[in-house]
Amino acid sequence: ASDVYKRQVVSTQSTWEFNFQFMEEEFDYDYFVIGGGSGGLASAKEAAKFGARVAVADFVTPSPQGSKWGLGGTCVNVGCIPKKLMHFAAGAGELKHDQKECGWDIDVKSQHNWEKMVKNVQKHIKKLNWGYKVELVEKNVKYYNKLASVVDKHTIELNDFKKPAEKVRAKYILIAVGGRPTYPDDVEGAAKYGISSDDLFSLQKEPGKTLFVGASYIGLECAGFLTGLGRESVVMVRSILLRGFDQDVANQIGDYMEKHGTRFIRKSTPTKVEKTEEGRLRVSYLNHETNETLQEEFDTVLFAIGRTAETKKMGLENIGVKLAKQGKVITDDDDRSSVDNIFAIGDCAEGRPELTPSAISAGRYLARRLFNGETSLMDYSYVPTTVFTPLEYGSCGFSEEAAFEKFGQDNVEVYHIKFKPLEWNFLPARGDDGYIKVITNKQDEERVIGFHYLGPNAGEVTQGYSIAIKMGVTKKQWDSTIRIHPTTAEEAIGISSKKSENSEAKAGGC
Amino acid sequence: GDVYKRQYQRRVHGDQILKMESLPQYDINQFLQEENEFLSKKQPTIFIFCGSTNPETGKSWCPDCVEAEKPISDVVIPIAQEKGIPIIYCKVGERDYWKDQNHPLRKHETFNLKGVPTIFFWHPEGEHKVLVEEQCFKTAVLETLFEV
Repeated sequence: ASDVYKRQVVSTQSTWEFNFQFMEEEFDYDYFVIGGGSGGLASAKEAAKFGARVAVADFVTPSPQGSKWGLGGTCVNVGCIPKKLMHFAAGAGELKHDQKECGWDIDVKSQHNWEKMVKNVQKHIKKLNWGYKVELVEKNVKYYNKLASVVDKHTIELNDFKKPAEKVRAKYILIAVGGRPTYPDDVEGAAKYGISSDDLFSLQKEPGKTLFVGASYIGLECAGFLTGLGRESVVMVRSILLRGFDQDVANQIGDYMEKHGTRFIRKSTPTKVEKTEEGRLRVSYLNHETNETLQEEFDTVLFAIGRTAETKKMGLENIGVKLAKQGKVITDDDDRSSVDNIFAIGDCAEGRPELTPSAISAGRYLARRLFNGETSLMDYSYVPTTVFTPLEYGSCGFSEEAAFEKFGQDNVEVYHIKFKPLEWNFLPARGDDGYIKVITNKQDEERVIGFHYLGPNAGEVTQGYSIAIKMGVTKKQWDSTIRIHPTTAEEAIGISSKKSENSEAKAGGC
Repeated sequence: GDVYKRQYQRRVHGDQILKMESLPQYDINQFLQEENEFLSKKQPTIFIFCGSTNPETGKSWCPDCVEAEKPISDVVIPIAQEKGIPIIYCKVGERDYWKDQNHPLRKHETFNLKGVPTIFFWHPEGEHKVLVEEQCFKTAVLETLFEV
């Protein structure tokens, strides 16, 4: 009977219409999105807008310490959102000292209640989880709270480990599974006793004295706010801080954190984590410079040494989807994998920034290309970011090292300046720790190709400047803009001090 | 207040599913008098806020509230009854009274209403779930109130 139908259709309709009808009969969904995080949800909702039949499968495999969470992905549950809330909580605590000098009657010694903060943070996260669920229902996107794996290029198997697994068929598949914290495989006791960022934001017990293994932004941001909340925090660094970021600024961040109470154990990596009789954790570590093995006790050990794409055991390799060596999906500019109907975006895709807004944008562009006939590709140049360390760091464009490498040191001019936010003057002990670097391309009308801001409200400052940089602002145009006073953002305008002439930045003035 | 409570208990005890218009109704003043009692019970409670009935038409002045009546009666009331979750149905007042930005429920510490109809699933721990206006029309959306 179905063969007769197909023959009739071919004789009366164009090939395109035939394919469309055939597709409708064959597939349960036009678009199946695996992963309900920033990228996946954005792409699913955009596709549904154009009338596609869309489904999202989201499932959180518990962390080694048993942590789980709801719909929304890393950013909402164990990333950006709780991080920023706790960073704010730490800052709010440090303001006590300023408040006293501002004239408020404040007890600077008042203690922080970890459980209360976690409760309020989780309350907000659960509100977001539920809001996303409602939104999917409102937008006619089917939500499966099941673990998805691919059986063949059009078939997805869904399992929640409670009911029997089910299979669905889809025309296009989007892999948006993100990543999870990596545990070291050469440190005895790491997975048994160590937590990760997956566990920190819902930690029911008081963390106490905490060791952070790893000095990229996750380790530094978390150690930073834990110090601000009054807990003894130590960061163990193998080599450098904030790999991939401007190293001059990265080192200033480290110096600031050390000055403000975070201890750094440098050039070291842990070798063992074991439990003491009192229930604390004893960490053995090797100092690579001196070759000594040392030990120290902590209440909590958090591993932040990197993240791995959640693409294992999904069946991707079996159907020919090529993965890079860390497990990320290799895609072309169209976000297409090596299998023509399977796409990947966000943290799990090779070579993409691990940023929520980037994944959201890529997801929307992809949905428009697939279901609205559009052709625009995502532009990954000049994507601004901010690291929410105790002294925040916003950047857009090239680091000093990357600019030298791409354009040649002689063709690049680096302007820099130190500053002290006006408000810091209630506490005279504060120094001019603020720092701004503007990098220009001398061969192209001194176009601004790199912007680095170390200081309060870095995200707010950088967002505005990033628009100008993306539009190709030159140093002359930049400096011709009138400053807003008194702000810290204004310090970026009119910097005359060149690093090539004076490696020590001078402080700006009024 | 007491009269309404007795009516409600009689109906639930009679094992009938209530339609929205036969739920005991609190006008805004009665509600404000009794709200501390509702909230102090520390029990998850569903509050439904709608515009008051226009005596000429017999229906609410708020067209969205009228449209939400059937979905709420079909989904929210039966499931809430089944789970033993009390429903408090409050008529926020006449149109002009509601449109005033100083309406007590607009500035309320807990409810902070932005529009009617609002279904406010109140939890003692603060993890409230709120659906507003056209979110109250779709049975699939209403069902999400009760998902774990």
